[in-house]
Amino acid sequence: MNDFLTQSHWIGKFTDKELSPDEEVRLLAQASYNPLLRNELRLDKDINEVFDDFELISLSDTIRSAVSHEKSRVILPLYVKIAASVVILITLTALAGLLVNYSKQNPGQSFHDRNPLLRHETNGLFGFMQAYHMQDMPATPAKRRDLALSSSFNSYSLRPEYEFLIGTATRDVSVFVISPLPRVRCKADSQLQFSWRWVSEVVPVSIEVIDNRGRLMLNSTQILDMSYSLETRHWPKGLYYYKIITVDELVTIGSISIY
Amino acid sequence: MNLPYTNEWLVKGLMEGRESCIKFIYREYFPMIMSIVGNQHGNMEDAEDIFHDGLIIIFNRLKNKRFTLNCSLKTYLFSVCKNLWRRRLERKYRLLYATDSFVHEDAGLYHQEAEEEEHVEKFRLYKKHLTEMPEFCRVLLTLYIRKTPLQDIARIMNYKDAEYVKSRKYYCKNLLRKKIQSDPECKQFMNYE
Repeated sequence: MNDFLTQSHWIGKFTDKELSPDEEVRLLAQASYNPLLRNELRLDKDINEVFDDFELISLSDTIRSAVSHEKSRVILPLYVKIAASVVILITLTALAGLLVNYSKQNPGQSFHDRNPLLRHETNGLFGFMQAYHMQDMPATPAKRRDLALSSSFNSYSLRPEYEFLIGTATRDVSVFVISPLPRVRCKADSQLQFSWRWVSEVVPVSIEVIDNRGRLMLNSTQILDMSYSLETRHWPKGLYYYKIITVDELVTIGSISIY
Repeated sequence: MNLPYTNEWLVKGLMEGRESCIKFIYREYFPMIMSIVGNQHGNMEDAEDIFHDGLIIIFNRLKNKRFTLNCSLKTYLFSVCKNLWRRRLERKYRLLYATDSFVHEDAGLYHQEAEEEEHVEKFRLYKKHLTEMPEFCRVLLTLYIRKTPLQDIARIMNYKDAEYVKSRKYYCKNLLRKKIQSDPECKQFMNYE
């Protein structure tokens, strides 16, 4: 019984009612003249009673964790929140204004295409530096649009104003076109044959060929034969549009793709 | 922005020990408790202890089937915490000046409530010591309090058998008793003789 550990175990066993009758008698006998042991026995019983309700313990834990969590939360003063909101609003408004301004300046082009910083094709490591050459750009919107068109234009780009007319033919004209087809592809060193028939009387026929930038490549007028051979040997590869015209009528429009 | 919790929802959340509810109660009602305690010589820690004890008292009372909450939780928490802090101050001054303070209320009810509050305070202090114990003791005693079978505790804590678990449990309880006995705050609860 003098062994501290044994005694402490006996106190616990006494509370749990696990002592043998003999051990219990011996412990109580010692407690009768030892007030410290009596206090230990009562405290042990007290601890068991206090911790009897596990729900209470878990609630206590929850309260403590909630309080510590809320205490650690940074609560910004109202005026800081208002100031932050105003700054965000101003930034968003400025960005929106910038976007609208770009759109107005370049109506036919998306912001992505317009902005060299956003473009994928950059010229070398410092290709994006083109963005800083804005001062070299033409002053008027029309010139800027032409420049923008030219930068993204290649020799096979379509011209919408001709594309939608290809294959159409004017009715009640005096010429019936046999070849070429409305859309024709030919090699660069070949000849392209134009042929037609007159419906009633012979009228002079004109052939006009323009490239996709609108430059006149051929203007052959007053043809009185039923065919015409076009040499494309010296023409650069690209897309061209032909027009077959009688005296005052446009008979048909077609495209020639030279590859 | 806080959601508008209803009184019923808060009471239910408290009974279920829902953390979001307790956080809401803390955010909304703690300033009120802080003002009670702060105006009467208390500090932040005292206010937190009062808040904790107040909620535990309400939880205990709500568990009692005969008890009905006839007002809002805020009002009830306010009155419980106010009484709690007043009694705690009275006890403190009694201890300091060894005088009996005048009791206004009905003596029976007063003593019943005082006993309940003392039990909660005791619980808080014992719980504090349990939390501060070494890891293995804390886990072992928590499992024991949860009435986990000894074999399961042995398996969880990787002990050889139930007998060894018992031995460790007695050791840990002994350690807890020593910690409680050495705490001056706990002395008031140990005047057994």
